[in-house]
Amino acid sequence: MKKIKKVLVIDDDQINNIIFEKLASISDFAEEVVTCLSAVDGLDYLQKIQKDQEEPPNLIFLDIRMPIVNGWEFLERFKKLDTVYFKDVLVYMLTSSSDQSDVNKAKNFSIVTDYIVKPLAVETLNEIKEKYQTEQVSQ
Amino acid sequence: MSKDYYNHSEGKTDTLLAMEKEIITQVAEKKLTIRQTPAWYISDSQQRFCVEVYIIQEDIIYLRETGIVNSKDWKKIQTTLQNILSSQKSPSLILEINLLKQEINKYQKRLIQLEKHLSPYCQHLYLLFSKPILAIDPTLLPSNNNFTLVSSLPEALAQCIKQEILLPENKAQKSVEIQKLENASREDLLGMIKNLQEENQQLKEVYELRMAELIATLENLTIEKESANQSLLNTDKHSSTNDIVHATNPHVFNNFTDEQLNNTLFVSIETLHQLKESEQHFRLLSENAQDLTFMLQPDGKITYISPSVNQHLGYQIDEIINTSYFTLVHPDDITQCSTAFDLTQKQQWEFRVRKKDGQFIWMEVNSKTIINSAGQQQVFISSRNITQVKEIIERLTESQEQLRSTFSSIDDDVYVFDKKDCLIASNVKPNKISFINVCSEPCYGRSFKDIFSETLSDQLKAALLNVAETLEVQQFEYCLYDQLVTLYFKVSVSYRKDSLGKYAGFTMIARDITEEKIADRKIIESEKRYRSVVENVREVIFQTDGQGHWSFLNPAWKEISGYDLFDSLDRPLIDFVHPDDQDKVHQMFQKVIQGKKDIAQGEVRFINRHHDIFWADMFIKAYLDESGKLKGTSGTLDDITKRKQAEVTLRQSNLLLASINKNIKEALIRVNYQDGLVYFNQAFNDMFGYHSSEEIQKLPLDALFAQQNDLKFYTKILRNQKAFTNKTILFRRKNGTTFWGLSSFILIKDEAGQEFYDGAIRDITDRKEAEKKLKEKNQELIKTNEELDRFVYSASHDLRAPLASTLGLINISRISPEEKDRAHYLDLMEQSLNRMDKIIQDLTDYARNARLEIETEVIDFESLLKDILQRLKYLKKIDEVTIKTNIKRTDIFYTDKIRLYIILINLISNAIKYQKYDQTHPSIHINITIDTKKAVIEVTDNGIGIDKSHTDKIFTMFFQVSRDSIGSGLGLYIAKETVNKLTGSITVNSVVSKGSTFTVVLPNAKNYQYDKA
Repeated sequence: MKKIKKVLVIDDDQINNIIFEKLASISDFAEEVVTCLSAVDGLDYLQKIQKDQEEPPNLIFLDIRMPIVNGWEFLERFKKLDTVYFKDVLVYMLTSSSDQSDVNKAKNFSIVTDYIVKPLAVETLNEIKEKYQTEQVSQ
Repeated sequence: MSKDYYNHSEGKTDTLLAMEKEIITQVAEKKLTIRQTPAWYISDSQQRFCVEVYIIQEDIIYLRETGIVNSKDWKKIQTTLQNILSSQKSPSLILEINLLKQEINKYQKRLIQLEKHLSPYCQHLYLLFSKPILAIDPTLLPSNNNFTLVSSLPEALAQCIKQEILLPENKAQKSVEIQKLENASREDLLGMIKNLQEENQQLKEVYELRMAELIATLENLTIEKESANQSLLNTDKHSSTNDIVHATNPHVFNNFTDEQLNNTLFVSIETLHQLKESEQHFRLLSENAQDLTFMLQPDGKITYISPSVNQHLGYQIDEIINTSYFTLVHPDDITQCSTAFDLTQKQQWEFRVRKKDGQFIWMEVNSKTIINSAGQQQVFISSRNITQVKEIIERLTESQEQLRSTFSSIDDDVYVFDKKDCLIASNVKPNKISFINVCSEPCYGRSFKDIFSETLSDQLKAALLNVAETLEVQQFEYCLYDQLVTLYFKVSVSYRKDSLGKYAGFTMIARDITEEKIADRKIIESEKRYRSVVENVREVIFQTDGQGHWSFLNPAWKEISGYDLFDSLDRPLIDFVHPDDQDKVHQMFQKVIQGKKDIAQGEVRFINRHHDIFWADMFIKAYLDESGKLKGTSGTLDDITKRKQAEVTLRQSNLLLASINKNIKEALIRVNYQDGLVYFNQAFNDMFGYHSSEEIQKLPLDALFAQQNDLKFYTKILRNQKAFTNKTILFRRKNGTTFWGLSSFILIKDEAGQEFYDGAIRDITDRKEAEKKLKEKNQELIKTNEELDRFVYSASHDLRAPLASTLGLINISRISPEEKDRAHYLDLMEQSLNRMDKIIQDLTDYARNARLEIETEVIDFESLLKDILQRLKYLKKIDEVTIKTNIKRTDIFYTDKIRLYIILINLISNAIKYQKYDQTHPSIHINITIDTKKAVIEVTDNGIGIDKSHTDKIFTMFFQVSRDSIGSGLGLYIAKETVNKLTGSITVNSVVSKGSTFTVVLPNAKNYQYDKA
């Protein structure tokens, strides 16, 4: 059984990040959780780890409504980063919006694996972990 | 009538028969012979033949052929006779023919010719043969009633006399009184007969006396052989008779041998001649006592002159006796006169004889050479003054010529009939259509019954009866149907009388009146037509008398008024006129009657039978008779009720149109391509800003259009499609400004084919404005809709976000065993809920601004700012910030307090929230300047500032630069919306990392009225 090594959480709401970290620790979701308070910060982090040849995150949890650069803009820019390096990264949308237009929009991005509506629960993280491990095995 | 007369005169007939018998007996006994100087000799130049013409009486002519006259010669004789006889009235002609035995057969032919040539000129022809011994077969003679073969001259004479007495016509010639007999009634007839018998008795006595004288002469002739000279000189009647006695050698009638017989015959004929001469002489002397008689010696010496010389020539007998006769004769006639002396035969001449006063008179001279008992040759001359006769003949010839030319030249057809109803003359020309056809059939000498049609004959007969009754000219009309044409003649019939006033036949004059007839017929037809027109016209045609009473009305009157013509006639016209118009009609009548006007005209109201008014256009005119005297008036009435009604309607519709024109907002125009604007209403003037009609009429059409090609473009559309509706065209006013006109035009052609563009233009500038506003409103709505979408989206997200956070926190608190963690989670929950509260607060403000009416009041900025800062106390950094307020005011400020609060709280909270982390002296300056018009509010911070790329977006909904601090993303949006609501303005001036200044300008509502809603 393979463990999720690194998870990147991008959300402008600090409370949200706190909650994610707590739940991740409770469910032993990942070895490391990195949080960014804006999309710009997230992109900066990803470019930095690529430059430093660090391990890329296995999963990214991304909010949609953020100031300056929102979730969608982040995805556009992320696609333009080194696709080889980040080819195994799975993106999960984690948002308070249950708007169907947002759900549909997310489906148009091939890199988005799933769409999770807040509040996040331990069960959700467990499902994602199991699924990730199953898929890794099958691979 | 003649027959009747004959019957009633049987007694006389007996007497006459007896008398005739006696004459014949005496002639047979050679007791009766006639001797007379011939009146004319007819001869040819070679003297081959000779015909002696004796005028025994004016109606008995004796012709004696002395030479051999052949047929050719007879023509000449005929011509001569014609001249002689023209002055005679149908004489009886006694013709003695010198016929040789061997010529008998030839004479048959000649006699027929003779009869043919002579019979038209005589009443009766008696044929006598010079040689009575020759037997003439009567069957060889022409079978004609007028032809009688007699054996001797006395017999012929006797017959003549008998004829004269028997025939009333002849008798009438002798006696005018007898003519009355013709016309006398039967009652008078017997008396007349009695008179006639007496007269006949007298005649018989005269005749017997003449006979006795003749017989006495004969006795003297045979008994006495002495010269008559003595007795001749001794005077008058008897002596002149005596001088004829010298005639020939006496013969003794005792030897009866053949030769002797012949001689005796010869002698007896001679004697007869002498007798004739004697008789004529006797007659001449007895009837023409005025004749001048000379006895001359052969050298011309006058040995005797009758006493009438004084009367004729003015000489005394003494002056003439023993002078030469030739000195009296006109020099030009002397040769002819001498010839007369050379001839042994008796001759008749005409030559001029000089009177004592030197003038010449024409004399008819009979000369005869006589050997007297002494054996001396003497010339006996009997002359008669014929100057007057000559003149009369000349004038007669002249007038005959005139008559002839007149006769032939007159246009009317003249038919002359004799008393036996036979046509004797006519001027009808062969090529003329007339009652007779002179070409195809013989007409002359035939009765009108034979030559005229039956109808014409009947009409003529009737006319003749009328003429006989009235003795006046009778006329009748006769219609002649020719093959191609119908001709009308007016025929006049009148009696013709001879010189003695005796009925001589009748004359019929036919005048062609076809043209007049046609003209008449045309007049009749035209009258008919006129009548038909009058009866059928819709116009009333009337006449009134002098008093204005109807005297004529055509049927149209009934049509129009409903009154019966019969009831209306003779009533005053004025009775039918509407009372209000009666004065007017009266004046019209007066005008024409007094001659002030030829025609009076007026529109007059009449009352019809149903008591309704009808309008008539009335014309009246004076009506004069042929002499120009006023008889009344004539005139017409034209029913114009409909027109009048139409006029009223028209007037009303004109008023309506005018009223519409005045009130209508649409400009109405009529345009003609050549003349430009031919009609426009007031609205047009107002719309285009023109004041006078003249300047519009001069206006080129182009000037009305704001866009250059519009005139051409729309004209083309009109031409092609005949009409267009509701086209929006930009027009130009006089002052150059433009406006949108909604235009509808239609192309119309008038009767003359001229094209007009009629149209209406409505100024739709207002509508255009409204449309523009609507468009803007739509734009706004679209924006609002978008905003609303965004709002709903954002609201769902942003309201859910803190809620989701709170739920997440509760979730972890539940599973987190540590108390310390739970307290932290509670703080975080509070934070999330405050944010949510802020959002809900903002949304409430937004809704309030959008929905609430503006309520203005005096603003106390100090206390307002105090309330705001109190409200913002929960903000984390508020205690670190220095807030300075500076208010300048020159007037009290009115505005909506709640909205001003919303604006200020948003600006101030932003200024606090977006301070830099590292700012050591965060500060906010609030400067407020108030005057009577406005308030200027500046909120300046020394915070993070705003990137220029974002300054456009900061006032939009849910725009957020960061989530560093609590924000709904609605603050500046709401501030701007609220400022707009208060018709103010909001601007930002910012430099990144240095700070921002938001400036709000609001009107002072003290002097400014906000629109309600």
